Amino acid sequence: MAASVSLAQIEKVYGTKRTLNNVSLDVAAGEFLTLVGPSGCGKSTLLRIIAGLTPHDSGQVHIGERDVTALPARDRNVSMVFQSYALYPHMTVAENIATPLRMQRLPAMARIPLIGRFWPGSRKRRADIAQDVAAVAAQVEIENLLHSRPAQLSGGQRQRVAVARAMVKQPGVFLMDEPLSNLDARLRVHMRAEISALHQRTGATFIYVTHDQVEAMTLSTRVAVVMDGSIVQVGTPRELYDNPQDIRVARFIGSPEMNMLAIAPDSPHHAWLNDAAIELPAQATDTVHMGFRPEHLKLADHSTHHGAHSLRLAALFERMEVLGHDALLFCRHPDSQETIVARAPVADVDQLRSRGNSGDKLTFEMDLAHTFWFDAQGRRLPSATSVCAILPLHKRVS
Amino acid sequence: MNTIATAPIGTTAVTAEPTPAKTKYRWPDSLAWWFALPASFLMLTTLILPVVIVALLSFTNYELGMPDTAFVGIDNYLSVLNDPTFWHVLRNTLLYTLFVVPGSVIGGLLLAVLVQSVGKGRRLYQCLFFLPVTATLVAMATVWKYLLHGQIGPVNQLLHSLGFTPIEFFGDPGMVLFSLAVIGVWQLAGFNMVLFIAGLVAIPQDLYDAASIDGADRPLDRFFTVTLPLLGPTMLFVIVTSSLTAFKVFDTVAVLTRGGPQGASEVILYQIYLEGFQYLRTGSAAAMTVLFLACILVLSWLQTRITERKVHYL
Repeated sequence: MAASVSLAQIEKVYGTKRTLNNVSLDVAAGEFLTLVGPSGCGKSTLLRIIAGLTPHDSGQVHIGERDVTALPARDRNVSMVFQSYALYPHMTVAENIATPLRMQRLPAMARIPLIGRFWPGSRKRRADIAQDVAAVAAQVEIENLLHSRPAQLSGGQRQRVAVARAMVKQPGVFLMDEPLSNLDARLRVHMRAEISALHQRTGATFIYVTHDQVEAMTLSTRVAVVMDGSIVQVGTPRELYDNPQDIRVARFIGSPEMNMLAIAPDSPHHAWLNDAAIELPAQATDTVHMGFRPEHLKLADHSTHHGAHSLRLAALFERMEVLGHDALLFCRHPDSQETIVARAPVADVDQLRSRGNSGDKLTFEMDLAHTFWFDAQGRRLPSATSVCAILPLHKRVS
Repeated sequence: MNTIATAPIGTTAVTAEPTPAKTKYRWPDSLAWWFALPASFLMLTTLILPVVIVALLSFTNYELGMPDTAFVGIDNYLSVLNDPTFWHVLRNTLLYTLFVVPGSVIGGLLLAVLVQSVGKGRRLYQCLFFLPVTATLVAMATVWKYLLHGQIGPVNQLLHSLGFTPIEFFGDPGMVLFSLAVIGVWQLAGFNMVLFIAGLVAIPQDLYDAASIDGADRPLDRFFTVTLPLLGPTMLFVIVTSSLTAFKVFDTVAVLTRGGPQGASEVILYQIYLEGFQYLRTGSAAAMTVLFLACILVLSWLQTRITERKVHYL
């Protein structure tokens, strides 16, 4: 029953502000897709549009084969888990979970409080509902909480109730709006695993909103990065990490974030960086950005010469954070003062420093194959591996 | 002395000396009493003292202006309780309350939900419906008297033109309480509306979203799934205040009917007023006042007791 979701040219304008700008997205049935982006980028609005909670200004939403653009939330075959869980505080856990079924299976008259109980035929249906509720509660291990009120539950338990209420309808699509952000760090890691298991077990389509790129990377089959009301890139977590197509994606994915050096070319194909001439991956007249991940920076070993495809980079050391096995070295570029962060094993740091690469000035080395180039507008320039190389000495100009 | 501000009245406090930990009851410092004095003085003189005086008077045969007064024990209470008039006015008051409370609570809730769903001009509606609360009831009562007048009243003219027989709203002993109750509802509903609006605004939007996803997005389902249950605490407060207001009905009776016709609209407060200020039997009036206070206490205690557990979820 997993349903595919397809968005076509969705536009949303709040007042004068364009929140969503021509967003199109296809989610395959059974996929776990995460919408990730900084707060205020429009990802929650997009989720609410899929749910049918927020009307959009133009574009179509398809769920499964149906065009649901004009349908209300209840007819869309979706369930949603809210950041605040949105449990009904006056109902017991069992009643909370039963609510979607009551609305589906009981006629309007039988739903009226007090007198609805006496509507003919409702007794049998109520018994069925109770049975389904118990089954779902067993799946998320909250059978013993069925008669408690939400106020008596811990954050993690409320989360489970919210998930159970979403599951009980057996929807084609699960929508989750930052469901873990109200939990403490340990519980978050635990619930992350449970949500992943839930996806495996139900086989339903999951669309998950988060601002936490770690959640996005660990849970999803695909991630859509939303920035300023547009989807900038969609891909598997690996693709986003290894091959970001936009400078904002490059910066957003990965922790600590990717280093960026602005480089002003002095001729369309050349630039100088730390006294080394670099050939630019594409013709550029404007500033280009060279990105490289902290883990690809190595402390240079002064006793060896660097190879043709590597680049040495001088940096002013500022401070070090030891994470355990690795350490983060926070530095600055000597000329432009841009921050450079390197991640290196603590052992290497000690060893190399003892061999003379020490003091306030460090020399790093990196393979040019690991650099990402972006033009002034932030678009990715073709891969640097083949084109970009340090010119041999005799070809250097000036 | 470093314990001055931290020791509330009536609690035990550990003395600052390094003696073995032995908590001893200790009166608060004199300074604490000084701080509490203005508030205590006001409470005593404006709230407690008058009640005590009334309670004392109810055991005497005091009449306003009479030089000598004797202690008569519970005679006043016995005569009040043996007087069929008292039971008659109590019944009338309860009947009036039974009309006004559901009317003004349901009316106020309806107004609140409707006004809240209005996009433009919400403020205007709020002001309009709140107007009866701010208007002087004595003045408004004259308007009502005209509106509901037996012969010249527009309501009766309308009934007449529709072919119904005119109704003596204030002249018919069977109608008069109901007519007064309509005015009571008209006056209270706006106030209740404002309280309900405050409650409605506090309901998290997330719950309505969850209800939409769960399929409870038709108006009636939304109302019963989210709105009404979450208004629980507000509802309790509104019911209690409305009952107390209704129980204390006086001005409309005094201005419009003076208890008539044939005592059909005599209510407790009006009867107390007659005893105390018309017949000048202060002792007897005081006894009725004490009984009235007892009624109100029991009423509000019961309501809070019954509903408290069912409305506070958090």
